[in-house]
Amino acid sequence: MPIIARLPLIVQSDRTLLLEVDNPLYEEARDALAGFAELVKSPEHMHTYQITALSLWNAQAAGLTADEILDALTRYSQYPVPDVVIRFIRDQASRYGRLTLRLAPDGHGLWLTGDPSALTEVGHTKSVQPFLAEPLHPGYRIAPQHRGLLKQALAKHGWPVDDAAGYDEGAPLALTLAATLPDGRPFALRGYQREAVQAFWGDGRVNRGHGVVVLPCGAGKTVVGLGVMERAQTHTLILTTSQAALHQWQREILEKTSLTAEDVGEYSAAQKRVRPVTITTYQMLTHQSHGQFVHFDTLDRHPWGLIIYDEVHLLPAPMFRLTASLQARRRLGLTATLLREDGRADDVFALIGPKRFDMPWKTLEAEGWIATAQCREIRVALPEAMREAYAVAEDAERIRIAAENPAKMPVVDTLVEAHRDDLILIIGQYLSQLEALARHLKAPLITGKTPPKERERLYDEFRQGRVPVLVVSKVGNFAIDLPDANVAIQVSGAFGSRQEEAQRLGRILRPKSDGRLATFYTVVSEDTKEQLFAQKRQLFLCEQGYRYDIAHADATGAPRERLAPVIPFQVKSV
Amino acid sequence: MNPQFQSIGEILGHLTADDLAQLAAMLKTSGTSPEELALALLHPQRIEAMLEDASADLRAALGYWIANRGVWTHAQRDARIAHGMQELAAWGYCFAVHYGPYPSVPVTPWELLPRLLPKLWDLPWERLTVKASPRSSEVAPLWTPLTHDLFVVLSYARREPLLLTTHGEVYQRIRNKLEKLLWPRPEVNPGATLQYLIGLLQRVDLLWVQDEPYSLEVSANAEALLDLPPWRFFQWLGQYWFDPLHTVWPQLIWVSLLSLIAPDQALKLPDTLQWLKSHGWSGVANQHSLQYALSELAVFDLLDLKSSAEAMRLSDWAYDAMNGRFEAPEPRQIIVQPNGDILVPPQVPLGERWALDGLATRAKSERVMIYRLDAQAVKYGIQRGLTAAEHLKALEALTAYPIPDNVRANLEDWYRQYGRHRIVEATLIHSQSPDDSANVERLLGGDALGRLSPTDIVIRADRVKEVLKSLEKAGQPMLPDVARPSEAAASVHLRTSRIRDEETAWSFSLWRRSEKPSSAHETLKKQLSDAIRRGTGVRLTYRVDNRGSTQTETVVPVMAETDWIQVYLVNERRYITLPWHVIVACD
Repeated sequence: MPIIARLPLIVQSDRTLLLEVDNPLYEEARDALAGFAELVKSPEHMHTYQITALSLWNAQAAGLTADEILDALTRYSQYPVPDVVIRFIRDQASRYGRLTLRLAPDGHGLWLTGDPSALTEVGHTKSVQPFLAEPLHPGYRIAPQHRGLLKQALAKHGWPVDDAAGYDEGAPLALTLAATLPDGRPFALRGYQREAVQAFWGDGRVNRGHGVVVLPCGAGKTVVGLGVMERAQTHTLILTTSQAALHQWQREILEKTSLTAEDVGEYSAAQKRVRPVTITTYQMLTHQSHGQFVHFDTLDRHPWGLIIYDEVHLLPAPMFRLTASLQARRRLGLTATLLREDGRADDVFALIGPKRFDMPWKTLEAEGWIATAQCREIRVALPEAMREAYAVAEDAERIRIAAENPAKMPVVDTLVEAHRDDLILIIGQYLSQLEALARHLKAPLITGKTPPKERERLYDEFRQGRVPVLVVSKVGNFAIDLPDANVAIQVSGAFGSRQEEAQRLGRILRPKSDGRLATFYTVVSEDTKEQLFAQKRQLFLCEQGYRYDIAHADATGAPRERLAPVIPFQVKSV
Repeated sequence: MNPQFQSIGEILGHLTADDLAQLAAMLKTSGTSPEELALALLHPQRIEAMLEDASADLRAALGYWIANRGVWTHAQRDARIAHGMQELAAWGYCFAVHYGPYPSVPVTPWELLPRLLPKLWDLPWERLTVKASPRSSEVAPLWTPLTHDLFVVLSYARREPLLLTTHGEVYQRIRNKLEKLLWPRPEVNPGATLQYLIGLLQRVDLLWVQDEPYSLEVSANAEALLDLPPWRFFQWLGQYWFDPLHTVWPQLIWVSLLSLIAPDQALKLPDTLQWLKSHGWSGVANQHSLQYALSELAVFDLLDLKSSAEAMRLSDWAYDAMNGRFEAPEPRQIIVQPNGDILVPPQVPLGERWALDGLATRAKSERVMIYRLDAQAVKYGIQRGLTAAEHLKALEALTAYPIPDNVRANLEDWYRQYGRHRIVEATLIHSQSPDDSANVERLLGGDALGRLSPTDIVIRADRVKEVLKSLEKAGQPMLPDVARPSEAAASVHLRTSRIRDEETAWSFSLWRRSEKPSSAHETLKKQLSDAIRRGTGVRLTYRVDNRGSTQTETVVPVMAETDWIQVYLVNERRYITLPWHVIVACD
């Protein structure tokens, strides 16, 4: 039923914005909001945005004024904008531009300067004081290695800093994007990828060149990284999460740019080649020996002009300290999900930069850039004997009992049989369970212990279709490129991790060469904590517009009647 | 609530079909719906026509009514006013309220007052008003800070009755929770707002006092009241705000004046008070009453608190509401999201909101309220006696789009989980010995549902009376009360207040022209006048309602006038006024 003609936006007093998707003015309003509000949820019918201090500061950095923001809100809002929201916007706007970070006039370090009253306030702020060196009128001298930490502390205290201290431009590197791929297919950035690059780069000045691009899995974030590299034309350090991801980047760079193998170096446990474009892992960078980040120190000496953080949501905690000292360089974060269960998502923004671009998953799906996916949850009864064990076990053990429910095996059998013509990934958390499945299905198993060469071989066999079913542990969560995998069966997962759920769905979201649908199954034990975790895990995807169909299976894997009789009571109803 | 102060919606909503038809014929409307009749009655042209045609008596009566702030207190004592009321009734603006055995009282809907003021008073607007900023709305929205606050208090109370201290105050810990739910309004103290809100909710029949436990709980009328169309709901609330018994200060006059000024104007407070004082409203400038009245208007969001203290105006929504402009509710706009969130846009009718409130857990109180369909909502549904299918069906009747499958499946699973076992209260007949119990079982036949033990038989709780009768007849009498072993002593539960008691509920009718006294009445008049002179009592028989029932009482006649007599009812120790034509006999 369509919403009767009305303005599409409702502004809540907690600065949440609700935008009606089915309204004729939706697109216009969406484009207006994108400039100063963050898209938080985009299920069907009603999208949720949030105005935050950070989003307002970014808007102002892009040249929007408070009046323009309020005008946009008023223009599309069905009801008057709450006074508390108006006050917040004006207050945040009044803070922007009052503190600036520049190069110190005498050339030693950086200089925090600006409005005297703002400087006085920050000078008395305990969390900021450790990063202020001696007074340098009007303001304070700041050591370069504290650049990021200072900005982080000021942001937490409600003060945006205009970082005008500039970037180290890095050593130059000529590179162009290829016009055709090695197999002869034409290659160019897609529209949204160009927009993402532009949103990040701006006009190349210091107000841009740092931030995060959020795109769904399979949407080509690596290509966005290549696009930024083409703009930057500088030596680039790429940080990834694993060897597999490192090699994937290598392949993409060599296939899609003018760079040769000589220009691209792998810095890993196996080899330590520093080249104009060097790819390493977070683990290498945060490795310590006798209290020193030895690899970081080596790499830090190189004149990088751009640092790319792949899967930036996984930025390990020690990286926060190191990243702070990398503030003088352009920094691009790439991710599909800016969710961290440790609550440090805001630190990512403060240290890498704000979110510059995102696109709802469903929009990309509708445009065909990622596969259309359907999600199914199958709830399997726990066998009686295990139910008793579950009831008396400790919490951690209960989760494992539920996850390793043997009744899941017949369900997986049924699903594999139903998808016998598809390429299936079976993903799980517990090795014993995965080993049992691999044995039962006579399918290969990839875990953390599988040597990289063996993994590559198996991935290759899978891509070629010679191995139609692959069982993977959580190494399969991200950064493996299996474009034609169109079925994923998740048999267990890490607690209520929304990010893991999204990443696993992402494994099957590459558009399929034959246009097939992707199907994501998650098999959980009914009436257990696993079922509760599943509901939490699904939250992010539901908020992106995905729907989960829910089915029930008995211990043989066959569908089961859902409703058990409920005792009826006649009580008064109010 | 004051029976003499009513809204047009309340009156028209309770007229008989005959009276409605008669009124429709008088107003020449095509239908008899309260909304249509209200529109016709309050139409400016009708009021204009009435005043053009008005006799001096009618004008006097209207002036009397306005001076009494919308009630006809003792109006019929003055023959002239009484005559004016008859004329008003002929135009359809005077009705009768019947309340149990008491004589009916005349009532004119309060909405007429703001429409009469500019016609009857020579208002010097240039002197009393000042320019103000333009208004941002054209209709009174459905969902305002006031309706939000009323709603969240009711929503809280339906699940957790508001426990009262021995002084009749809601416990502080509950008040703290409720204050956090209120619409944030920095200009108003939330504690004060809550106090006023609870008072309002009790007076307008949305919260009732219970004895066990001593608490306020949501009344059974809530559903019907929240289902009223917006114009009637506002008028219903007006019966509380503007009731002259509720406030000493002339609230209705003031709000009426505020509603009459242009949208971009404000009323100068000191000048207007002075003007009112000079026109006979001597109490308006009393600081204490003024403060109290304006505070209440401010708390209920009727005043625009951004306007200055010296130049006052109604809030946007109150201005539109007083001028009869309401946002049209849009049914079936609730959205259920796949993550279990339920969004309730502001244009959803209050009745649908209330229905949803019983089916989901309130998660966020805001302009767009957010509910969640979760285990808690299911538990509440089970307590209300719903099944999963009924819960879903009730929800589907409210939503704009189909409920997502995963939400549906989760609901059904929760019902299955939580509904499997219940603690059940059973009604048993406990006998002293197994033989006695066996005997009772034989006598009860089908009424004995089962046996819990050799001495305990299970019966249905709603068949206790029949069981007692059967056993009494069979020579096995029992005490009628139900023993509760867990309680120290039996207690008698009484409701301390139930305003809508069916036996004594008010009823309304059109105001009928009073009969002229007949010659028989002349004889009665003489008899009673003689009794007044002698100072003696008489036995008086008189009609008590419009259905012809009579009552005979010992009275002492006190005062006789042309159309009525005042007597003292000896048994009830009070005075009443009776029109001559209702008196039947006098001994």
